[in-house]
Amino acid sequence: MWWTSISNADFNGGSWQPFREFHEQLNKLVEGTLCEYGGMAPKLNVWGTSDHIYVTAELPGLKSEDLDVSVNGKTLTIKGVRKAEPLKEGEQRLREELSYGDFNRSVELPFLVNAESIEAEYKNGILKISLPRSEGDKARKIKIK
Amino acid sequence: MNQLIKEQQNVEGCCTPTASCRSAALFQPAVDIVENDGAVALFAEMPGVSEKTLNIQVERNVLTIEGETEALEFEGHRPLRREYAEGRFRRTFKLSNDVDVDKIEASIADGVVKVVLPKAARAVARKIPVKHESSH
Repeated sequence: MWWTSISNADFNGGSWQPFREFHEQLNKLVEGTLCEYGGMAPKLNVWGTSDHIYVTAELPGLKSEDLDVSVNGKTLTIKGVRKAEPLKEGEQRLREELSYGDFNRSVELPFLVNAESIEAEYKNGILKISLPRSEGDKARKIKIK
Repeated sequence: MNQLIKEQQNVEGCCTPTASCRSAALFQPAVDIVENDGAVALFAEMPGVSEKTLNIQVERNVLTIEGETEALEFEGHRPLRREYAEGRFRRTFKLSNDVDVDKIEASIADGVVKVVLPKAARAVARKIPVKHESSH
């Protein structure tokens, strides 16, 4: 990370550190990004109207019982585990590009959803979640007398 | 014994299976390859592909795995975030003569394609029973 080396070599020695805060923020931003997308976090596509959201996630090779979808406030969390088929005797892995293990991904929704009406479907390695906006959260038109 | 399965040199210039690759409409699926005494099994990740749009073929010892993802569309909804692209998966492998191409079997489940490539009889190591011969 070039900014770390710059900040250590050039600015940390003196007491005047005008860029320190900026560097700290930048580092935080990058760490946050790594945390969100790194490792096993599934990739998401999101579609929406003002009252409904669809989230789809690429999650090949899972069993639906190993998938967990939850909503807390405006935060949607998709987590689970992809188990690797253990090698049998006499078997050897010649190539290993697929990733296994735990995954966890959270996204902020633009509105509160009605937890009872959330539907999730897993098909062809794609998880599809339907999230309707909660009635109480919807914008209401006020009649003017 | 020579290598049973090798990555086929890419003629179309398709990228390797990394995250950045997925912005293209044609991408290579990630694969695991497992070998045992009698066969080589290949597992290719192709989320969004079903048996209807999957095409697997062998021609002149080149195995091609190809599939189109089902394009998801939601009436009246506009895209807000797109981290993965929909399109076509394709990857090719060169098979050695030690693969019995007539006995290749393929299946797909939950976006993972499994191709089993049995070894030809001559390529399977056989244990030779040793007889005891008495010296007189």
